[in-house]
Amino acid sequence: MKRALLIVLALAAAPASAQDKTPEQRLDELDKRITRLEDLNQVEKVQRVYGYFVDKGQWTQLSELFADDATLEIGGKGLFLGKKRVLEYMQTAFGKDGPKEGLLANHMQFQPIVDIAPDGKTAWIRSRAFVMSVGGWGLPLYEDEFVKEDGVWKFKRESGPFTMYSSWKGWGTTRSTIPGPTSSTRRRTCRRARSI
Amino acid sequence: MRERWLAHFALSPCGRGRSAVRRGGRGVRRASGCCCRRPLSQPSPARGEGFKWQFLLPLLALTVAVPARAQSVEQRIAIYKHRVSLLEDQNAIEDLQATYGYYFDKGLWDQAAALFAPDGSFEYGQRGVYIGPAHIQRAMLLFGPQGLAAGHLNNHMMLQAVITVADDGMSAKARWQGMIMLAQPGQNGVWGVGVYENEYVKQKGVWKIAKLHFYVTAETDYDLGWTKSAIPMEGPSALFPPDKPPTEVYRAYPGVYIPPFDFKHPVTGKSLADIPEPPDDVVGRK
Repeated sequence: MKRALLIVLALAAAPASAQDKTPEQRLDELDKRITRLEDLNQVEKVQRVYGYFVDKGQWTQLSELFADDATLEIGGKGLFLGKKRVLEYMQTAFGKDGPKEGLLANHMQFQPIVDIAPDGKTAWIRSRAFVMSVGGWGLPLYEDEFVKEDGVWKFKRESGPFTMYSSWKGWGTTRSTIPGPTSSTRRRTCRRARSI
Repeated sequence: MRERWLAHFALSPCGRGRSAVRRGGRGVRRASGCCCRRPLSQPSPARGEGFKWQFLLPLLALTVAVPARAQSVEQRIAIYKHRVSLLEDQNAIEDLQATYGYYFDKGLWDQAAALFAPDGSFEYGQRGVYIGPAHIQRAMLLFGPQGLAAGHLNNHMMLQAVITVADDGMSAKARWQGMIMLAQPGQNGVWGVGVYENEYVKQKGVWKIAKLHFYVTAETDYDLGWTKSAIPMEGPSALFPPDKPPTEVYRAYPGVYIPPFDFKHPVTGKSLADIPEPPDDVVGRK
């Protein structure tokens, strides 16, 4: 008797085959798969639009891509906490909104790999920017987190350390000259965090 | 000071939190699906090709107001079919523009011009607007002979797409980043960059280019670089004049210009049309 009950329970717990599912259940699954594809596209889009805003110094619009409690860490300048600080940093470091005559600072956004979390509320991207600027060439590598708030994908964390940065002469003759106090500190801290 | 930095980084998910999320994400990929429902604030899926509008309009109201459970199986199938159509349209447009780029790279003007709609337009920098595949094909000959020639490099990369398919699935717009590498025998190489703001139309189920507008924003000598060389754009050709003058007059680098955005801000939903253009004393823009 006990054994029979166990068999019944096991059957109930086993995943139903496609034939056993109701049309509604099958449609629920389809909805999830379509939503995931839409989410993948949208996260890519937010990352790419970020790049277009950087190119033209659209700092206000850029900051509005971030969630209120988002963080930003680029160019070895430390971590900036919150959407307002993102805007303050951009306008302090790079001047008021809008492109400047004689200045080119293109951050072209390439090669995204997006992961959507199982609950569909957060996502990660690994992608890169190819920088073509008056200063020369650069290659930041992004590991960014996104959050879906009220159905809208936003940056939750942007982190884009440079993996290459050189003058126009090229990476064969000039070495990375990333300024700032944080690049070495950051690596040590991350290692420590992982080892805890 | 040291403590302050550490405090900052403690907030940063550079370690364990991140990997946990990513592991979860990969699991989802294998299971091909995530657990969220399409939010109501996303574009309504009740629209588009292959469906009868009269049938879909009542569905539109249902998708906004009624959770999926309250919709009939037939209604849900119609909605999901349409959402998949829009995803397919986006992919088709990405392929179309990438194909244009590969043809243009190699001087395959006949093939590139055939990607345009009968009334499609082609505008490159300040060369003016050419209308219709026949004029577009001839305008492209100004870049070199069909198939190019030895020693020529005409790479125009199509990158960083932001594609917006219209609700009815019959037209679309897209912004692209266009990196350029040019060479001709006897001349130094050229680096360049610009932005495409293009439009597309679906005719008899096939996506075509309705408007291609490449805003060249900067070109420089390969060896000299931006600080020593700024190559001005070509104006309208005297050999084969355009059908219309340039739609917007602007300077490339060292001048600055923001090619107008076709899409709304992806987070706030606000129009980006009112972003002010920077002043340019040569063009006379204040």
